Amino acid sequence: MAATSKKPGLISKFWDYTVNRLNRTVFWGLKFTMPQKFLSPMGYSGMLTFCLFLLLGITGAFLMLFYVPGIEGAFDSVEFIDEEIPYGFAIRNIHYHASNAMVFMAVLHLYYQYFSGRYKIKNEMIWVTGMVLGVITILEAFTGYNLLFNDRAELAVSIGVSLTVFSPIVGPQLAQMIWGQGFSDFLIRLYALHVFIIPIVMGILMFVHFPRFLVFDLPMWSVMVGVILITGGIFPVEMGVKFDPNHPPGITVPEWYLTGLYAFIRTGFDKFITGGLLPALLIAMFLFVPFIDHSRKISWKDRPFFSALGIASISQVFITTIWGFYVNPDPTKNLDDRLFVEPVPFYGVLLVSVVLSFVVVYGFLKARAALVVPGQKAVPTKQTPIILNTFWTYAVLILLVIFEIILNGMALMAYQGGLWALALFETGAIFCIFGIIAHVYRSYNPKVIEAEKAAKEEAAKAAKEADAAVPTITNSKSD
Amino acid sequence: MAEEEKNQQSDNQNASADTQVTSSDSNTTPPVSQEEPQTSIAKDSSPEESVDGPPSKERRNFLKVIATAGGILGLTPFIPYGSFFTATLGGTEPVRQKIMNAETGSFVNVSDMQPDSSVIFPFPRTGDVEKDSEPFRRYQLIRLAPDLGGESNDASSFRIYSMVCVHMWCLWDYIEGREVEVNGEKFTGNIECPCHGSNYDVRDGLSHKGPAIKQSKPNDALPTLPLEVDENGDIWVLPPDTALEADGVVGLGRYV
Repeated sequence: MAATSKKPGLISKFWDYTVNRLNRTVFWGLKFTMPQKFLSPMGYSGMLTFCLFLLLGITGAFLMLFYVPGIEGAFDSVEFIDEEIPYGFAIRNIHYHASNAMVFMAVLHLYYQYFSGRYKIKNEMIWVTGMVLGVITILEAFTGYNLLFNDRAELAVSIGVSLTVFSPIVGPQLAQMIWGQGFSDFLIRLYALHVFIIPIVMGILMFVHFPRFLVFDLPMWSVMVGVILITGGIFPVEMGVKFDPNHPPGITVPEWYLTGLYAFIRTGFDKFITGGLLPALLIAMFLFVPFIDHSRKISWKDRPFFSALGIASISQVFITTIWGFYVNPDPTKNLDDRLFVEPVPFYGVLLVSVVLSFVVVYGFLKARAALVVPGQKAVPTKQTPIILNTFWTYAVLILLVIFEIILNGMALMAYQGGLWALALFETGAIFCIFGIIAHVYRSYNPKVIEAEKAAKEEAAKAAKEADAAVPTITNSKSD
Repeated sequence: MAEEEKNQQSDNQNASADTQVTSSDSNTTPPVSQEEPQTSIAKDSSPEESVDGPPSKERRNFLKVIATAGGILGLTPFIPYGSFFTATLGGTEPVRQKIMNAETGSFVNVSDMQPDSSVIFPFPRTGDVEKDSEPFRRYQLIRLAPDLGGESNDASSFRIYSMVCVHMWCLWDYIEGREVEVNGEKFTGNIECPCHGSNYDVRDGLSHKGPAIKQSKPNDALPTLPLEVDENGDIWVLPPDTALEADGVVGLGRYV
């Protein structure tokens, strides 16, 4: 056994050595899976969110090398990163679009886990930390997009600070402690919060939030990075107008995850109620749902009340988010007439949509439940994955690699020609192609293909031998 | 009582093996290491017979109180550390100061300024670009429109307001030539905020439209600065009385 032809190589020795030592660390408590076939990304959307967090950490660390906080310096330094630093444009775009993707994935993750009843089965700790993480993620994104101190950032920071100040009881003291006083304080603290304090808090919460079973899907993750890069190429993040203390800013709309809040505030009622309490209702609903829903049912189909509640909340999120974007474009009008959100139609539409979506979904699920015969189980549909044989696997992989090489050259040329957006787009395409390569590679399993082949031959043989009236397919998988 | 014993037993089970060992020969151990063995003596249901001191449970409770007090006292000095966070990078003392147009760098004179126009300036002006850019120290000097008597060359045709909107602290702008109607009176010139549309009356800084009008006093009027015009026509800012009843507090408002 010792003197066989296969001696462990240096790399595998080193790998084994490392793995055995990792055994003593916290990581080995995690059950880490790399799926061997395509899985729905919804199942591991949390892991994708975490990967985005890491990507944001890396790109953010790069941006830190050149960013200068301050009323005068911030905007110019970001412009410098964008225009002068090699690949600064790409790094900033990846950072920005990854932040959007992270907020989006976090929301998607929340709703998927909600509808599949994951807050049950003793997952309350994971659920609550997840909700806190979600809120902090949005705070992190908010502190981030204001580091570039443009017109919008000036207004957004003002709103953030004043919302803190006008919170009941501890508001002024809290604002003083978090924000300091004056924009010199705000900006340096915004920076400290964004690059260190909030990420550290997030890291600690993630430590509690992580379940023991984790799925890392390399192909899906590559495609995700690719899509982020492609989005950055098509919609490069804008600089906006530099804040000029001599020229007050015009109307600006916040990022998409805060336009809902913006719509509420624009209805003109008390700022703490509209800017704090009403949006907090949504968060509170999700926060308390595990302690209200005590049924033993997991599937959304069996929980008509909570499924309907979830759909109703989605309708709220959509309506407020879209409404928040709307501003009357007529520049000759009074700013109040342009910005005011009429409370009666706004809250009216919200109320109607809540009731309507709730009743429809609830009624539908109840009616469906009445139709289902107890004891009868739905037959799961069998999925047959596309499995390429050896020849096609090689062919596809080689073609994709050639395509990657060509795109690499194109991206380099585009970058040298000053077409940064195009270069970013092509880099995104390369990532997507790598995702496909990784998927084809993992799907290619000689054992499976052999088995398939044998089964086919067997079937053909059987069909020939039988040659009778009834051609049956024998299930003779050799395993 | 049974419950307590149970607790004690479970405590003993949790106790590490070495305490068990010391408990067996507790007579020989020096009194220094008595704390731990005491808990395991309780297992023998004869705590009172212990040679040293009171029963173990009371003693432990006493120690708990002491330890907790020690912990609290240890943390107490950190309470005033909160002022670390409430400190600021630096403020400036208000002084009597000529108004300098922040954009052109020239002192503002009555003869330079048309009626129905405004000039943005920092107060107090320090000369430091970063400090003077501070939005919370930005004010607008407004010369009222002719229909509000803005043509007279004295202090009565000028107003100064903090640029920080008292609704949510965005920066408002003076809109020249805007026709407004407040309580049936029509006049020219208006103060409007780009965030949520608060409007302020240019004559006294009181909100007349938008979200700020719904806020309770004094959170519905812009803070101001006292001003005077000297014999050359230069406009000076006087140190303000930053009380809500007087010139107001930036961001919080003023009683009108």
